[in-house]
Amino acid sequence: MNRFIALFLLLATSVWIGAQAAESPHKPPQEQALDTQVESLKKSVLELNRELFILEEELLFPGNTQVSVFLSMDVGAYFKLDSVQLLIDDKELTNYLYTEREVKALQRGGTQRLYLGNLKSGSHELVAFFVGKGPHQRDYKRGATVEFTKGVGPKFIELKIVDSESAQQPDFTVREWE
Amino acid sequence: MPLSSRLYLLLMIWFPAVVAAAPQTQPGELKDLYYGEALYQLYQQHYFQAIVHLLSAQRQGHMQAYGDEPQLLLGGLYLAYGMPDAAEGLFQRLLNDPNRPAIHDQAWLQMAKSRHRRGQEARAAEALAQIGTALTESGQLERLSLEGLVDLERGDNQQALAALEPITDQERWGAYASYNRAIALLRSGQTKAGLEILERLGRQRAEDEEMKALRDRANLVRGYLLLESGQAAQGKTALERVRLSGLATNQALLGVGWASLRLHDPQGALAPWQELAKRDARDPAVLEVLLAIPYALSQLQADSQALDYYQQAIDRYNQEIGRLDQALRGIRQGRLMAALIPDSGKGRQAPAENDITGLLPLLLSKNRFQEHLQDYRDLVALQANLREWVDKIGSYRAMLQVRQAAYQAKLPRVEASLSGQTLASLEDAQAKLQQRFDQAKSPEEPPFILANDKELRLLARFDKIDRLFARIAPYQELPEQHEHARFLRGLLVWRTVTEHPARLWEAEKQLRELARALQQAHQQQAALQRAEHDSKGRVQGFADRIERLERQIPDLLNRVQRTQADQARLLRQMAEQALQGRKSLLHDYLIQARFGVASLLDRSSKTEAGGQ
Repeated sequence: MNRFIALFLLLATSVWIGAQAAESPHKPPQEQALDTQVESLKKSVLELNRELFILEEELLFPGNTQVSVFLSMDVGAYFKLDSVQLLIDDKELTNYLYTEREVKALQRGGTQRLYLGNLKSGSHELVAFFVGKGPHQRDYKRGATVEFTKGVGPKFIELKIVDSESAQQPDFTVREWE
Repeated sequence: MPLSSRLYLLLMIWFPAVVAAAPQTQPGELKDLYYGEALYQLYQQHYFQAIVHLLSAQRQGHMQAYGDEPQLLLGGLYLAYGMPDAAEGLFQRLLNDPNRPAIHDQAWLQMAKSRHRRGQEARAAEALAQIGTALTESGQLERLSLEGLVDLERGDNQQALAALEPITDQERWGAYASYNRAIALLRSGQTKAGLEILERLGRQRAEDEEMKALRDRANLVRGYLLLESGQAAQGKTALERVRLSGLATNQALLGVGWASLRLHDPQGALAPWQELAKRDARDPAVLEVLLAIPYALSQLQADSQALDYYQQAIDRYNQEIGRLDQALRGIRQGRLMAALIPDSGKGRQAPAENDITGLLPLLLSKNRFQEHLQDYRDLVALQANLREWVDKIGSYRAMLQVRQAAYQAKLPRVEASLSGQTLASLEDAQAKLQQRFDQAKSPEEPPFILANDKELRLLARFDKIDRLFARIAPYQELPEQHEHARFLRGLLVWRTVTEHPARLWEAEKQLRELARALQQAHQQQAALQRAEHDSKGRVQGFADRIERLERQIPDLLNRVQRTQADQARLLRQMAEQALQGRKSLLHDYLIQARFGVASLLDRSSKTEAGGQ
């Protein structure tokens, strides 16, 4: 019995670093070498991905025709987002259904690139429908519209869901970025 | 790096980095869409995507509005994605600006945490010593807490106590610090003070699972310490405060039994132990209790029952050893990775992988094993990522070829337009018109220079009439007709002369328009020329980039596969080691159980002999 108690105490009196007691972080050289190898590989693949990501964007969505639509959320207490339908010039571009995780990421301040595509220069109309649960868990669908001009450079549009404290309702705004 | 560790990093290491270093960055005050996009990936724990998006946005010159914040975020992401060296390199670069103390302190704090996680305690202490006073309140608490941990790891208990002392926060940080202070006190021999802290923690209200787990652990450690120091009753009370379902439950049940035994209550020990014996035999506490129950029964002189329990223990130990042997065979046959990552075998189920999967909790309870397993998973994901790019880049190459073919088809028209022949002839015509206009403008303008076609035709007819008159009808013969012709010619001349200024003005206007149109034509030709040149360059540029990047993929794929094999080998070694360790523990228990049987049989034979 004493042996078990002593062994237990040795293990139990380790420091507390959060969700669990810490294990010794010291690693044998073989493991350290492998860690370095993995890290170096991750770095190389990340760099390659960066280059490919840029290449893909430049190739498929050149600056003179590129249009990006982003979605962000400020607080979101009056609206639980289920989906967003996006149309430009009456053509449906996406109808995106959100997971719980994605909604939380938006609520914490993340911005989703909802659409990336190409448009000719000139005037266009964007319409977005936001579907979800509004105040008192009622089904809620609202639209937001903006007319915008696509010039020679890339166009960025942000759809934003904000809480209107005065109206105790969600509000949906559209902002054009330079 | 394990998922739980990553979660820990996200909550305990990375999250303060963003909150503390970027207090002005609240949702709703977005300054750059790309930064927000990286956060969106990060908040879903898509670390790889978040890093790629951040790196790409930086390369494209975005996120200027955030200063160094994207770099700090990237450092945190590197840590979360298991790249501590990259994180440290990045934080080092952020330290060059002493004019921004908040960034400076935050970067040093991140480095200290990274070094501590890698067991580089001396270097972690050096990093902590560089931190000034610019951290937020939460950052300061984290710094002190980390200082305490580093000191504890270095065996400097007094220093650890000094670091942890100021953390009086009643919430999470305070609870961690209190527990670690208790450990420092116990390690430095101040048992009474350590036990007092554990007592307080053990009675503390806990709102969430983590705080409840900490409370259980405080009670568990205090209970065993009291038990060891001969205060079984108090130890039992502490152990009984541990929840009935939690990570510490099995050890607590075992301890409660030992406390009862110490209090000369073997009957009281049996209740928790029999409950514990029903639990999963992979837990060491359950293996231990299989020996403890017959020991308590023997104290109660229930030798026959004790013998039965010893026999049951021997059977359970043998069963466990059998399972371990089977799992070890499975591992040696190369079935570990399929059991750890079921879809890694390309949908193929290993025939007897349950032998291994049953023992996974034992392996996964080790942080280091989890870290290497996570690295292996990351490598699998890297391989999938590279294969996906192989397909995509092939399509892009094909797409570029189609674009090039379409361009070649249009090229003759473009080249004809660029050859300049049409434009040159138009310019010649313009020069002639200008010359005519200049003549018309001069004081000795030629007659009828601005006459229109109809007028020129009429003049020609008048000349013809004059020639006719000269040949067949002199003035004397047809004076009326001659006068009529002269009158009409005079009218024509009058009109051209009186309308000359207006015609001159109109001609000048048209010449200006012509010059403007020709200038536009020149500009369009130049633009077309540039477009042709750029198009050649752009298509070639894309083709070169595709070729250069495509060439890197096979090499990287090979490296990933080799490293994956190394990682799998290491995981196999670690698994075998862990299972062998458990097997040897089971053999120890088996010997003890057999010894118990022998002792009981011996006692029984002595009793029988005494009775006779």
